[in-house]
Amino acid sequence: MSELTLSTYKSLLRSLVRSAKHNKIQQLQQDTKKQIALLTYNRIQLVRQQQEKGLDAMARSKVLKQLSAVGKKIEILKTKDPLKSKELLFYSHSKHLKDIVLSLKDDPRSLQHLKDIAAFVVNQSEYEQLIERYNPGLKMSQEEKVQKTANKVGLQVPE
Amino acid sequence: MFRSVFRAAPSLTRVSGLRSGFVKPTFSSASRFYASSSLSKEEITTRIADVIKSFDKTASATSITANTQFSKDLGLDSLDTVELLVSIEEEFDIEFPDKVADELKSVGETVEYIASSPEAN
Repeated sequence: MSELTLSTYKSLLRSLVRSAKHNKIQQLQQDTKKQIALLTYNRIQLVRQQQEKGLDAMARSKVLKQLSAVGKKIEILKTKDPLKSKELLFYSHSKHLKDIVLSLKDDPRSLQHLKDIAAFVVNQSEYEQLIERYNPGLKMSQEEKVQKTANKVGLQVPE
Repeated sequence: MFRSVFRAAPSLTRVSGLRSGFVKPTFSSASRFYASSSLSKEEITTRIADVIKSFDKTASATSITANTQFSKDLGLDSLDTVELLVSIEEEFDIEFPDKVADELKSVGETVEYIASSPEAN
């Protein structure tokens, strides 16, 4: 394998992994939030079942077991740190990328082009980060915006 | 009206003067946390092993030691090795220079390099 092929593949992968990281973290956070919400709903349902009258001992113990299992799951999800996820370290479509690079391995011009694409991806994601950093209002929710504006003039939004 | 303030002032300075006499500067004994590479080699090895395990192209799920070779033991071709190295770079937040990356053929060598680079975390 020629040096250029390897370094092209490397810079492409590196740029894609890095630029996807930010979004992946957010997605993972949202996913865990959703799962926690679903489990909390399950728990509420179970508690309701438990409080029903006319439940025999067998069913009651079963519900209790399910309750503790759900509680454990919620705890695990809450302690999970999306930043530690190994998913962030890999690019999910690397096989496709590998095929592309291999098909172009005798064509230094195209490889150089791929390298340029990698550089573009890096710069574009950096540009997006800067835009976000200099315009913090862009990704705030409406609620957050109202709250911060109120704080700015010395008021507080009622809870 | 201001008498109380004036009276309070000299006593304050006296107190602070006393204090500076007694209190020894403690910051000199504080440990410095930014010393080079705080990672132990075992920790690096386990983290690399975790990365390799979550890499879906590895051939065998055998235990990973310092002697594990990327191409022989894990069955990776050169492009896959590059991919794995990129993942390891991301895990430790460093960047292998191209020359170094070509030399890294086994887990042990990678651990050595990471342990010697101060930015790794």
